[in-house]
Amino acid sequence: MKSTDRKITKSYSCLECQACKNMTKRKFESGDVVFENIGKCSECDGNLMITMIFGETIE
Amino acid sequence: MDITNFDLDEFFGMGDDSNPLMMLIWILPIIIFVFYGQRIQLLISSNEIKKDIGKLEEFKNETRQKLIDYIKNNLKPKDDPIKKIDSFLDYFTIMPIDLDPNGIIPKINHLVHSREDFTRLQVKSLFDEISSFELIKIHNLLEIVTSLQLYYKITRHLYLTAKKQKNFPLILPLQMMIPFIMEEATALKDAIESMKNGQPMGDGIGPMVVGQMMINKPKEKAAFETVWAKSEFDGRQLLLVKAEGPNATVGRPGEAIENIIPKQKPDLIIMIDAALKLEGEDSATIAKGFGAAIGGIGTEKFKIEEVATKNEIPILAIVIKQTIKEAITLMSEDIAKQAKIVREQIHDMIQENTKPGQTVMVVGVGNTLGVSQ
Repeated sequence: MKSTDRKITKSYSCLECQACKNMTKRKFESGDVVFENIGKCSECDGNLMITMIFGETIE
Repeated sequence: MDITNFDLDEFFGMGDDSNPLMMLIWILPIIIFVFYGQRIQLLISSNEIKKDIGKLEEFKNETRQKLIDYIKNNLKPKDDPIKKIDSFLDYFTIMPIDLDPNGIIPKINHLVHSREDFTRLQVKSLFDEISSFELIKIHNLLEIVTSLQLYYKITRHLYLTAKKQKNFPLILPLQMMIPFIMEEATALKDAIESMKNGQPMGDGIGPMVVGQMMINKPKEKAAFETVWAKSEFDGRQLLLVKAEGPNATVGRPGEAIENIIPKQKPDLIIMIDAALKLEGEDSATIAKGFGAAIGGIGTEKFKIEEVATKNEIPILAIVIKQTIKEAITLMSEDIAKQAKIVREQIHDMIQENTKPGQTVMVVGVGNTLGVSQ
């Protein structure tokens, strides 16, 4: 098997609080959309928004 | 080693005391290569191409099956969708005659839009009820499978024709093109997964940049599947345009710009798009330039250039370089992180090229799957 065949891509969503700008990264969940509010920040109760969805390739 | 005693006749077996068997060993391959050289080359080349055609067939079948499984498992089709899906795969498009190219753009535009509308209607007819998000997603998945089917059929046709005619030169163009075809086909096959999950692709960087600038601004419809919003930056009015996310669509930015310009009269247009990187260039690098940064068949680009020229509006462009695979598969972290930097560059561009009180149109070009606004 070629090395390219062994690549696995894991997808993540980056969450940012609109108030305290606290950033967290978690695994992508079905229904995640960039720039959608997905709840409240656990630190300051501000709006939590998805700012990025991206893939990381693991060889 | 003493090379002064080297005897050419002896080496080739041509001396007086030469061995006829040795002569045959030397002469026979020459005769074979003179008369059958091309056929041998054809055999070697065609074996390599045959393997790639096998892969293309695999890609086509695999993506078709994934599409059918997705429809059956995640949506509720009225009947078994297989027959209808298979009939879509063989649809073709006859491009307008270009003997007299004058006025060909509206014809191509009409043809492309008709095809889009027709395919969406056909996809819709598979279900009693389907959301626009899923409808557009199925349309995109269908386009991927259709493209792979087309690559497979054309490659197989060229290969079989060369073999049938036993014509080596016929296989040469295919031999040259096959690595590029395979690169694109592999990218298309890999795009299925992120498309099914509704995740943004590398091409979505343009809409992602502009989408962030549109947050909390009232959005209006600018054209089919395209939205726009007004904003402000450093005393300048901004007109922000992008495809309507999070659907898997590129919208109709050309039509949108045509509609907005006569009313809002911008002084500058800035377009942000993904661009194919050259070999040797790094992925996710940002480049700035002039002109309409937009790909596709050319009709949208034509409209933008036409309306900008008519109104004497300069067009500046910012592109984010990436490979074809990065452009149509799940966005990489490097590309996603560039969105912030591109936004800063847009602001610099606006300050350098306009004065307070002027209006700037910022257009995010690309597929906006998974990117809202």
